[in-house]
Amino acid sequence: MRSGERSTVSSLDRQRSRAGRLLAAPALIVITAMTVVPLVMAFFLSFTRYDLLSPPRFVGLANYTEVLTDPVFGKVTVNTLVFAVGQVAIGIVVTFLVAMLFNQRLVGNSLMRTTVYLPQAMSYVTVALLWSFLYDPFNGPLNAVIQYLGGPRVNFLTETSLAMPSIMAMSLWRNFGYFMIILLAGLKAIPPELLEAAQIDGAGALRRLIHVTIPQMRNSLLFVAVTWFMGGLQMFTQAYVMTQGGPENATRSVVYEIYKSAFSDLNIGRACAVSVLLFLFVAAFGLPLRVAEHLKARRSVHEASGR
Amino acid sequence: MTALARPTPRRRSRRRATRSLLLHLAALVVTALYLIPMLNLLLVALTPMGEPTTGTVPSRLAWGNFAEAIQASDFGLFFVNSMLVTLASTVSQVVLSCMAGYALAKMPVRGKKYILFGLIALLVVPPEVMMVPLFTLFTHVPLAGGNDWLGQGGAGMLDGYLIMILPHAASALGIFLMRQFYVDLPEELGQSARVDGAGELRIFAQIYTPLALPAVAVVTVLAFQSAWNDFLWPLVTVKSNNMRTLQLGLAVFYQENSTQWNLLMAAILMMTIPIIVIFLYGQRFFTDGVSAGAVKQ
Repeated sequence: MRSGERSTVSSLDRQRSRAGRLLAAPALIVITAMTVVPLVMAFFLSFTRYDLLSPPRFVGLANYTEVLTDPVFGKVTVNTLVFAVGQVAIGIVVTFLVAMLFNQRLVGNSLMRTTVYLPQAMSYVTVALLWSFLYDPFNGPLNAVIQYLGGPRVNFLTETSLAMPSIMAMSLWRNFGYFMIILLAGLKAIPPELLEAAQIDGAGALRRLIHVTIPQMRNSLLFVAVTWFMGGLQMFTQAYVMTQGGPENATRSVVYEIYKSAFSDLNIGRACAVSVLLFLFVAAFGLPLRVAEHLKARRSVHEASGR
Repeated sequence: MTALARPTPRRRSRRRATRSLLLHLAALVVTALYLIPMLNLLLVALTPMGEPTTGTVPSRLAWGNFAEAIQASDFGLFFVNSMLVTLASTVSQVVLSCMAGYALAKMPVRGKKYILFGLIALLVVPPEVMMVPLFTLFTHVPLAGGNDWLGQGGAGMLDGYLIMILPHAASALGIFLMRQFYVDLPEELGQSARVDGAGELRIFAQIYTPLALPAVAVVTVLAFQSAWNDFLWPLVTVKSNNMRTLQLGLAVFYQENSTQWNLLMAAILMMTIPIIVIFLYGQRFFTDGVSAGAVKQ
């Protein structure tokens, strides 16, 4: 840029910068009002006792000590972690295997893939209701099959030890297709030369899987694990619709606890304390991973749609 | 490896055939795990009232269940509510994401690195964390819903369309996706249009945005789905029956009439079909959207 042009360039720059601010402002204002402000408020309200009617009263760390010493909250935390970790652990293995399967040449491949992917279009409410029917102890097809095979009647959702695994199975079923598509895209992105080279070097299928495919899939697998885990931490609708958090709190999750504290106990301070704890956990765990991942995948939206 | 050690061509082709057969069988089993529940859904929805709803083939197909499900609850009304909230949220999210995404990609906005970092940071915050403070904010909007000018005394914006739309009206993810797309479009397009005398807004709306349509499609589908499927926020903010959305209406319908599986399944089918149609139509964009950012660069 020559020095003689500077004044006109900078006036254009100023004009463009103003247009840019104008374009960015509406979205940033909405996001600030709907996300940043409530986030700050959650911190503030978590140190108060507040029932929405009388003004909030500062109580220091009372909500936190109360929550952290409450055995029900301990159970709720364990439930949520069991759900999130269990879902990911089982899910990632199964999803990976099935993605490998659908990566083969199969007759009717895309039709089968779409079928598996379809529940992703259904809301949690509808999937939860569909599975409530499948699990129904009297009319449900699952019990019909079990009894046909000579088994006992199984109360999937009302048995304390079965309720959480049943909800997990349903959630796996719904989310499976989404993560399979991601892993499939990852498999397709592996350069075929790598696999061929390994094969020429005499590596068998298992060695190719361990030494080529899995290392090449590292980013996709990490994305799936993180996204699935974070989704698991937010579990609510399934439990609300299918079990109302029961039996004996067996399916009560952290978000359920927030919902119940705020809207049936009208204890806003406690609900905000639980929200802040959830936020801190998710941020400590998710932020570094997410940032790294987005910096790495800077150009992939363009690539994906250019395909 | 010598030729002698290799299996004969015939044995090899037989082995390949068994392998292919096993793979097809496995794929069919996986598909069946999805087809059978959906088939059950369809059969129960078509089972006449009074017949046992076990998901087996009913004596006759009761198409009337669909009409009855609509009459049994205010599903028509709920559908309109859902559509209104979803369309408003989607349009707003798409327009605002394009605008902000473009500004952050192509305009010399001061501090945009920090704005972008802030948006990425917000991507990880679960919406449930904001739910309770957002609720208290909305209930204390001054002069709304019987509130005085200090925001006290009434129900604020509870039980209205706006409270359901506003949290979906802009999204960090939408802005982020649009920005990534605009960044990769060549600078020269804008420069030459500027030389020809086009204004900045015109360059944004008529030059760059038409080229960004694939990304717009991704953001549209994601926005539509998140607003249409939202459950917790309407559960918290909707008080009266006639403001309910489909998700909410359905959950209430289930809890009040838990044994009428056939009507329930008919309702599920009716509310799932529109989104499946949109989904199949926009499938390519959608699968590209979900795998964007997930696949290594």
